[in-house]
Amino acid sequence: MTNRNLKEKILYLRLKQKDKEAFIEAYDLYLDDIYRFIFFKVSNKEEAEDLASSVFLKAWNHIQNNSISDFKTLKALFYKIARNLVIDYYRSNANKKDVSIDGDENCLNIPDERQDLLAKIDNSNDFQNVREKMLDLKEEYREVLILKYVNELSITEIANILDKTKGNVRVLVYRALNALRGNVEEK
Amino acid sequence: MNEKEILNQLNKFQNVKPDDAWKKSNRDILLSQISNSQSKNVEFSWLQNFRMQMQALTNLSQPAMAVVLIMLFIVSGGTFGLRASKDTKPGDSLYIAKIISEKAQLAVAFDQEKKMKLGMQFVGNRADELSQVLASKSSETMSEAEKQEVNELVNNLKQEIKNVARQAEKNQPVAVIEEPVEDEGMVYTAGSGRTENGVQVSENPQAVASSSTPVIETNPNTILQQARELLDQANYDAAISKLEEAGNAVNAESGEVKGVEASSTEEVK
Repeated sequence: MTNRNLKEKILYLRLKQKDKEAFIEAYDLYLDDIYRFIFFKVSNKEEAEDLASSVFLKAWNHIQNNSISDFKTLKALFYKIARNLVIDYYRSNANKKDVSIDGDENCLNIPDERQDLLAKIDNSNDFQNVREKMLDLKEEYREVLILKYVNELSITEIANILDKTKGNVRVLVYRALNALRGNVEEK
Repeated sequence: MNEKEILNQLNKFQNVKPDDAWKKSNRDILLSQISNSQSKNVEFSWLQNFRMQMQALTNLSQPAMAVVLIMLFIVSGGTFGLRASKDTKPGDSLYIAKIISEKAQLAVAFDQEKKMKLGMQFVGNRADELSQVLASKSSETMSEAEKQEVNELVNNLKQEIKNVARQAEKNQPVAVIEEPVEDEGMVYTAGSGRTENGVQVSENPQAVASSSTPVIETNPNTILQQARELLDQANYDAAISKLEEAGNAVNAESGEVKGVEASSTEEVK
């Protein structure tokens, strides 16, 4: 058992005791990851913010009313709730079409000032390419790639979140990466 | 682009973050929302609290729990095994456990007097075993193998007696200086005489000693010697009763030695 897991456990117990400071801690700890996870699913800043916010509210209520035995870790709980919320979101918005108020310039344009101009352009091209191809990927593949390589979760954690076996997740990650590389090289 | 580059690009997605301003305002909103929901809930009962802690415990330390359980199993198994081996005689499967436990007890007894006592107890055990074996068979119906067994037992008993006798000899000089085991009755009365009457030593110590201790032979060493001789003559029953006598003598002695100590400490004061 790692130190981090232990910390999570303690955080959970504090949440269970209705410790508001623990809630703030959990919020600061997981918000970025959860937000990112949702953002890549809905590709819309405002929706992602709304959904991320409700994830924390739902998690709070869930923790008060249920035991931790339904899921392995606090982190997994947040991700699971986020996933379900996104599914609900798609279900209820099946017929609606959203337009982001940010237009094309959403926060995926990432400046990196440490590199020189040429490298920056090239880099940015590569990045845009990968970004586009990511959006072309199957939802399932995109999800594991985000969890594994962006949010840097372990295979075990991903398996907990997706309710799959570890072997299953490994295969999924491998295939997703292959598919992405195929898409990128296609260009 | 190779896989590494793709992964590098993917890593850059980590820079996707919510606005700090939104983060802050949303935190406040959430906080006020959970504060509202809080008042609805009833207070935590101690039972729930306890259950939750137990749950956390099981979640946290399953391997530790397993280790504790295994240890518990081994220890309890050992204890029950030893208890079960208490009334065994040679040839029983648990007899070896009994012998080993006796050896272990002797090894961890550092006090000479305690060692002596234990030794006597084990001599008693050997004697009990011998009497058990003898009681179950009469000497006429005994087969060669059984006779062999009895012989071995007798030898064991002798060996044990020798050990105890050696122990007693080792014990003696120390005992004479610190707490005179041999003449304990005498010293005891002398001490009490001193406190009561202010007389240094009573006139006829031997007489007082014999009147205070009705057993004529109180020295376990001599009794052991006698028991050994009886064993050599194959007079097992007599030897066993002699041994019991020796055991009683040792027990009684330790009790009286304590008395001496008490009176001598009084004296010092």
